[in-house]
Amino acid sequence: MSRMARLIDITRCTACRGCQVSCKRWNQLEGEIGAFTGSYQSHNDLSPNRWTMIKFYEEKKETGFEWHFRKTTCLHCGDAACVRVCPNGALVQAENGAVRRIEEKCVGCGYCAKACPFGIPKVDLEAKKMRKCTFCYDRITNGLTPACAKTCVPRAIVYGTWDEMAALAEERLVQAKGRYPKAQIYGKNELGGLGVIYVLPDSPANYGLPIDPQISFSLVFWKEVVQPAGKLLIGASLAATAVAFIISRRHAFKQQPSSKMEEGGGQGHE
Amino acid sequence: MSNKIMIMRFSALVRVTHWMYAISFIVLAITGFMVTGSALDWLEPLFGGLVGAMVVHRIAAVFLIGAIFISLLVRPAEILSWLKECFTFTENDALFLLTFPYKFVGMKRELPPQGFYNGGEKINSLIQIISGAVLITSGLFMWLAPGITPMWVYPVHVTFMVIGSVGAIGHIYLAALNPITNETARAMIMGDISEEYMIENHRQWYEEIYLGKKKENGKAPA
Repeated sequence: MSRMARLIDITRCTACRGCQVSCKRWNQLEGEIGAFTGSYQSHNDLSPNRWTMIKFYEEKKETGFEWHFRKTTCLHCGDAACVRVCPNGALVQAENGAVRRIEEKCVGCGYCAKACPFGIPKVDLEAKKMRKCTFCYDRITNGLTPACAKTCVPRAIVYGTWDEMAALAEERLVQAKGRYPKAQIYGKNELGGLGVIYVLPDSPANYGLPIDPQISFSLVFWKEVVQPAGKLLIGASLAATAVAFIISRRHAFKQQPSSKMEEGGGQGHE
Repeated sequence: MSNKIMIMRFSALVRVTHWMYAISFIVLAITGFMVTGSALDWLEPLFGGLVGAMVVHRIAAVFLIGAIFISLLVRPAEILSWLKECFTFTENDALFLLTFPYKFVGMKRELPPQGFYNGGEKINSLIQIISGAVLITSGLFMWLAPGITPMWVYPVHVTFMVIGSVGAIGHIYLAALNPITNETARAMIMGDISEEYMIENHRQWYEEIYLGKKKENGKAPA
């Protein structure tokens, strides 16, 4: 199966939040009433029960006031930090690009929440499970579109193969440039290509996205150097002591009796 | 055994806290490895899955830290003198290390006179002291303040777990399996060890400290 992706065109989003609702409905996530956030934004952040939400950004520019709405969700990175860091193999990348979580294997350690450059995974501390957007894996493997894309009225969320979405992003960018000269595409080159390709009216930094997201050096060092070298060292030391044990037993029979083996011995050792 | 002269080596406190530390360390190493590696995953049911293993990891950590505190609170002088000795590395200690490869495979070599702790024991102590300090500090951050703990703390914790485990594997082998050194295990279990072993392996300590005392009592052996 070819890699699938969603295009999220925030130059088109009207903040109807239909995607927020359809995500809750399809995934049967309970609603949560949060505290007032200081704006029309519904909640401050994602939660174990909120896998997508619209974040609001107010911008004062020379050309006037701009109000933008970005659908926040797991971006299903091509090279996902969470998949690399998961100590228990609970996060895997499916062939269609979805970063999936295996319920039984997840122990809610929260390493993924630490490693994700976008702050997506949220840990349910009581259930000891991390929860995040599944890319509607159950729907897309059965020929349906993800719940959020299906419900999106202005076609700000579009679902298709990664290549189609990358091409569509270019088309949308041309359309957006008229109104937003600084418009740009985000997600085509970042982290091995993201599973979400954004069309943004301005720099990603204006919408809470890291300009050049990276997998942290600590994580690469940990997984690529410390872990394999550590296993090798522990294995080698076990093997070395096993060999030394055999050699030392052979010597024990040959050498003059030591103090332990014969009382009063051990005066003239080798 | 009966006609041998035995010398007291480790006090009851040292022995109790050593084993408390040792058992906690092994439990921590096993449960820790289950989280970072996969070779011990078959042990998961023993701890109630990985979630249970992470709880056991924290309980063992409390005991490990407790062993340090108990020893420091009950016998500070004894522990501090051990620390002091570990951080004074003499020429004879270095010479000991040259003979160590032979010792490791069970071949006896004439040792340069060693103090109460030989060069190898000092190195082992230093490995455990340093890795223990790093593991406890980083571990407490990971446990109590995951929100503010930077990412690099995790690989540091794993790195020192490897260093500590490799040291411990060598230590356990020398103390339990190597036929020319495993007599010392008695010192950590019963507390005493034969005079002969001390002469063979800790001559400097034997002559300077122990014989010095014995001469005063007029019982110096020939």
